[in-house]
Amino acid sequence: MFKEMTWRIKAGLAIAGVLVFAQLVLTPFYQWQDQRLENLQSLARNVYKKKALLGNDDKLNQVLEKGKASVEQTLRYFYANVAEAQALQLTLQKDIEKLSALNSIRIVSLDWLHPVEGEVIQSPIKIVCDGSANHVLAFIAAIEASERFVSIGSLKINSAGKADKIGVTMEISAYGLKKQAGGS
Amino acid sequence: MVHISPIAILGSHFLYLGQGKALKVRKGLIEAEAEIDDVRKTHLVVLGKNHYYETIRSFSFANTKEIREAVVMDIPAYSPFDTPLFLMKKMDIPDGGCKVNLWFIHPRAVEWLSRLSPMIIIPESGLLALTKDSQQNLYHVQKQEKEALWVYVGKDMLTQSMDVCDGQIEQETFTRIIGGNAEKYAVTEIEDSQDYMEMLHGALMNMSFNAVLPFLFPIKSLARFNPKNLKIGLSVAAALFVIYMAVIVILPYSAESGLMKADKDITPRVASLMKNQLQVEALYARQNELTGVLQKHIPKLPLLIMLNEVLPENTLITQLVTAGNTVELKGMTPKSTALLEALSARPAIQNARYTAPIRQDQSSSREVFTLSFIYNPAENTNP
Repeated sequence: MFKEMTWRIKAGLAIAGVLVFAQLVLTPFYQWQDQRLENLQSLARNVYKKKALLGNDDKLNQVLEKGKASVEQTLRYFYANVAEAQALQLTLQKDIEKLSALNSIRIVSLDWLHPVEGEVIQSPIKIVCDGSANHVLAFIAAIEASERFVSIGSLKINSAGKADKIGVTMEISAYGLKKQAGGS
Repeated sequence: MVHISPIAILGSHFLYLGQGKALKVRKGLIEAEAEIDDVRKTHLVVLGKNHYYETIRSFSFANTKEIREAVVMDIPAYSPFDTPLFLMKKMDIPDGGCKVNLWFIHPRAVEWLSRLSPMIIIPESGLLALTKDSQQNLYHVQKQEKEALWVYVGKDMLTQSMDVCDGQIEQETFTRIIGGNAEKYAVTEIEDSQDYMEMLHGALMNMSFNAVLPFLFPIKSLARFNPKNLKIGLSVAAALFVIYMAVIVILPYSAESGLMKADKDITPRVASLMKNQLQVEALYARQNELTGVLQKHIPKLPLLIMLNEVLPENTLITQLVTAGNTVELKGMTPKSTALLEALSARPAIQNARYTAPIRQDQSSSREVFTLSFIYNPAENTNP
């Protein structure tokens, strides 16, 4: 019985041997080889990039200048050198109060909401105000056309039928860039 | 049922290896006679008695592989000469063992056969056992004037035979040699070579697949079990594997060396450019981040101007709530269907629908509505 099974045992052992060889030798070898090829491709890309840069000094300088100008232009929309979010909220409050006075809008209440910290700081405030429809429109237009970028997140307008005044509730956010350590 | 012999598939011809001569037989007719050394290739060989030694042995076990191994281990105990090639046909017996017809091929014939490499080799006496009504029959084949063959096919279809090269051996002598009784057996006389070849052809054409099996690929099996060939094969495989491994290791190494050298050469020349390049990439990322903040915001003034344009006459908005790009309106209008049509006509307004039932305001005779829609500023043509 055992002798008749011998070839089966041999075949089983051979298959097990092949599997162990594949698992312990071939698979790690091919993983190492894949990693090596990946590194090689990365190196090839680097060399290609560097070769492509040669002779393009002027073009690259132009792109750099254009990029700097473009970023500077965009940075103008943000409050610069903000030390902390509350300072920005205070600045925003003052700007909004100024605009409301200019547009004959009466501020009923004003709250500071939780700021969002990050590379760009978002400082929201919530105001409840009232005024005539035309004044409200002018006020919203003035906010959205501010020199700095100020967004109106949510807006709620209530009109009491034939009344002259309409009530407005809105969340307004100003955006600022953190003061760089040692920077201007 | 139509019987198709595996031999018929190979063709209707075979090679008969006789005493120093080979006969090419096609459809039972002798087509040509040639020197054995001149024959080049054939699929089917019928081996003459003078090229093998035939015996019948009993074994207590019935496993074909074990029987073969037992014979290989002690060839001199079974055959008068040593040979690398033998054929065997097994016949099981009721007590569990078996009787085996063994045909030991002469080394000289093995040499010829290795060169011819036929698919099937059948000893002529073994083939006679496959003719019709061969059981317990005696065959006397007069091949040539002084060359004859006696074959006895037993009850178990195993054969015993004797060739007569010079002179005559009577039936009585042969049956005594094989240990039988002469009177009991019928004798089939075959008078000449042509009749004999026809008979062999008929036997070949009637062979079943099972009958062919013991004679199939004997040369291939001989080669397979040759340890030298196995060693050569394994060595070649190992060499190919080593070459393959060397190539897949060396090629990337060589490419890597070349690239590193190129990188080393070019880096000092592009150092300042690389710095600029990194600056450009950093500026690009910064610009993307800042514009992302600006673009996320949906301006409210264009929305209000658009609503002012689109709302029908005598429509009064009592409440407008907007958060993100969702807008909800409450108010009164003369005809709510006209309001919905007017809103839906604007590409910047999507999914406009009433969110509460419409009801009639008795004092103003207008319809009181609550509706919502999605505002898409990209589609708004207003400033």
